[in-house]
Amino acid sequence: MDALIPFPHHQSAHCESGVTAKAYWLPYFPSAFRFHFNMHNLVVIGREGDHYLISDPVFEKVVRCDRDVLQRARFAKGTLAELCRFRGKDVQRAGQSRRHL
Amino acid sequence: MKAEEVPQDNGMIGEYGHEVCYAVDENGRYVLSQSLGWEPKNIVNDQAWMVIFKETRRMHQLVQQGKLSSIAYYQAKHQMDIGLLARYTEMAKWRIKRHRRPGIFWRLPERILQRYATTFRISLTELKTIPETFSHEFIRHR
Repeated sequence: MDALIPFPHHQSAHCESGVTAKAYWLPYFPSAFRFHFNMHNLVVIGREGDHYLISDPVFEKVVRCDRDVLQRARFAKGTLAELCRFRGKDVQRAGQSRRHL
Repeated sequence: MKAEEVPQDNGMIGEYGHEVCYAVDENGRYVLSQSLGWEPKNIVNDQAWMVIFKETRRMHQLVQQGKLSSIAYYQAKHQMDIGLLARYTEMAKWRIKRHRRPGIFWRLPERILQRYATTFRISLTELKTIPETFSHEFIRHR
C-alpha cells in the first residue's frame, strides 16, 4: 500500500507527487464531473493519516482523498489507464529540482 | 477572455463552490479566475447524464423482466461497457457476456460474484438484487 505514492512519508511536507487519475473514482469531485476519464492530473502535496492532501487544478482549495480511493483512481483500468502508472515521479520542493516545476 | 467576463452560469458544479479557470486581468496578464460554470457546458453535461440515465433505466427494466442478470444494471450504472468491466474484473469479455444471462448468473460461485461486487463497491447481497424502482438519484449520487 505504501507504494501507492512514492512518497518519503517522514518528510511529506517537502515533497509533492504528480498523479494521473481516473476522475470517476475521485470522491471530492462533483458528481456531474464523474466520468471514466483517465487523464485527470493532480498533485498530491501531503498526507494526514489515511488521507492524502491534493492540489487539484479544478478546485480552489486543497482537497482530501482517502488513500484506498486514491489508489483505485490512480490504478484505474480502461483507455489510457496505463499512463497513470508512470506519473508518480517525486518532485523535491526544496532545493535544486524546484526549477522543473 | 477578461477576468470579469468569465461565465458564472451555475449548473453542474452545484454547491461544490467554483471551478478554476484562466482569464486576462486589466494588465493583460493571465490570472486564476473562479467560475460557477458555463451554460453550454452545463447543457452538454446534462445531455451526457441523460444518456447514462436512459441506458441504466433500460437495463433496470431488462433485469426486472428477467432477461438479464443484475450485473447488466450495475454495469450501466457505473457507465461501463463490457470491455471496461472485463478489465476491472480481470475476466474475458465473453465471460462477462455469459454472466449477464440470469440462468448462468444464479449458478456462479461466490468468488466470481465477489469480483463484480468489489468492482462495483457493493456487497454480495446488493449485487444479487437491484432497487425496486429506478430514479435519477441512483445515477448521480454514489
